[in-house]
Amino acid sequence: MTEASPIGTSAIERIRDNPFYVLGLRPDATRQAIERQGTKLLGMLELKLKSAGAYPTPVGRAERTVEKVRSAMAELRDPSRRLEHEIWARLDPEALADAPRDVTPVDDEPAPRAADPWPEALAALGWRAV
Amino acid sequence: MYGALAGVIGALLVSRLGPKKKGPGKPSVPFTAAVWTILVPIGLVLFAGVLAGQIYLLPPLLIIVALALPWTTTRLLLIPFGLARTAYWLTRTAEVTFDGDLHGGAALAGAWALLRQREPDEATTAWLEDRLRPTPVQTLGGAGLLATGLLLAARGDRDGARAVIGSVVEIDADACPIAARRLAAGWLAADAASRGAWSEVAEIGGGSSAGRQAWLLSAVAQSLLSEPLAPGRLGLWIRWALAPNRRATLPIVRRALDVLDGVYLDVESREAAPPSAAIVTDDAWSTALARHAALLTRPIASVNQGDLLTLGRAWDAILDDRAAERILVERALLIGAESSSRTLARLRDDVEADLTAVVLARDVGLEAPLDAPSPTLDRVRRRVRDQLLAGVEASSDALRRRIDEKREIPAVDEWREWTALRLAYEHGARLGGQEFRRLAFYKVYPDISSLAVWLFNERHQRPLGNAMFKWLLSEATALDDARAIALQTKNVACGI
Repeated sequence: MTEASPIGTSAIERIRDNPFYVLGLRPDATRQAIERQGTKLLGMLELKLKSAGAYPTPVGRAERTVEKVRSAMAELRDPSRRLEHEIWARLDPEALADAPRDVTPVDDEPAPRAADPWPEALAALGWRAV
Repeated sequence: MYGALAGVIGALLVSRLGPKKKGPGKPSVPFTAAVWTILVPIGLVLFAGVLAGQIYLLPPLLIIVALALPWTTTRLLLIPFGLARTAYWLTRTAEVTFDGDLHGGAALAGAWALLRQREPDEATTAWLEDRLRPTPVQTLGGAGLLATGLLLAARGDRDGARAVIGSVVEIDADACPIAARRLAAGWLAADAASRGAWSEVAEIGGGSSAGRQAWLLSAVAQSLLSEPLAPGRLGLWIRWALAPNRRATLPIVRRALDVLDGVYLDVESREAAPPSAAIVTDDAWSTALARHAALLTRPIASVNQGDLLTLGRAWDAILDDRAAERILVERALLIGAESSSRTLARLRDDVEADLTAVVLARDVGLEAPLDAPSPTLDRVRRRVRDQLLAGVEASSDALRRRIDEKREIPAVDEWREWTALRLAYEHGARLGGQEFRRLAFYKVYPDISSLAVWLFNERHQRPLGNAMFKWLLSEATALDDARAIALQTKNVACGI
């Protein structure tokens, strides 16, 4: 998982909850394809199939729910809303999968750097209980 | 024993009845004088008695030592043991150390002792806060401000503490005991070191009144940052030997020495992170979207101006491009959408809002590049400026209303309100540049000026008013406002 910036929960949600990514489709999908895929995913979610439970996005994998799928289908039925979503969905959801992220790996101990913080400073200098 | 007791009573009487000079900057040490003239000679006699084996004379002797050296006793004994109230009362007698702000110094000792408790006692915290909001009103000085900051730290408000303690240095030297200045520098340096803000540490300890603790940390910070003027090994060892808390500071000094030995070789690049293969593409849409998504998912601390400029230009290639607009029009016609221009406007708005949020969260200024300006970043810059300006205006208006209605709040809280406004202004000036500074100054100038005059003339808070006059003068000078310079020069000349 990536460590998201504290800035844009809504910005990240805009990309992560894009109806095309939720449905696992590209922006040029036809209306029939959208309805078919939506119905299929709803059925899979109903059966609690693991393969339908998550989907890739450029900002990381996200959880797919029945509500998200229904909302995605409704959004894409409105042509004006669909055009807006198409723009943000132009990026291949896997595009950044290999991109280097400035995220510390969970398992590896990062190499110490000279300018690393000194968290004990306040206690060491007598400004806090040791 | 009885002699010592009589001595203490005598000293108290002499200090009460003796001549007093009140006001910041005027030496007033009646109690100390009485202790040294009456109690210390008695103490010497008691000491001789103790040496002769009369151990029962030890308690009164220790009391006399504590009264003769109140700040040393407080610092070495009461504060480390977290005895906040005792530290407060004993420091009330430290007239020499906290000359000019004795009440503040006592509260500072109490607050510091409170910080040394494992769980700061709520009742004592409230008691000390009451001491800083006395009735009748007393003049607040630098030590009182430091005490306020330490109490905020004890309550877990590190940001608030940093803001208030950082302002101690603004108080005129006559109302800010040198001990308070040094301790404030020590806390700020330790706080910055704990956050890894080593540039701040280097700056804090660079002043002449910073104290040994901040002085050592400044040298360590310079070494960690590999600054050319950083002291060498000998310089570091000398500072370490002279500074307090030697055992506790040894690890960080060793880290600085390792840097001098070339153990760490990390160089941080200020350039934009190299784009991944996925981001490098001929398609302008994919490039902009990929960069956008990558920026949003990166830790905010790693975002720099170069990243923002690269992303801004990537969006320029779409938002200000006729071909991109045509693609949208064609697509809108194909799927039956009403208006592609509204979609494009919405996209622009979303992109600018996201970039504005990044700039504000990262606290990084957006300087306009001279060679190739970015229209997207220009709009983001205006948004950032407008948002910051709105915040400053709201705070300034609230202040103005309170002044107009003559609604007084304790001096400590007046100072916190002013500090919040000043920090918002300075934050805006850092991000929004000279344009923000000019616009904001003409809004805050009359309001802060009124507050300063009110505190100075009617509220017995001349040091606070004087600090505000000085700030207004420095801003007026930076903006070359002749009228404001003339008025504030006159105000500053009134002293405290």
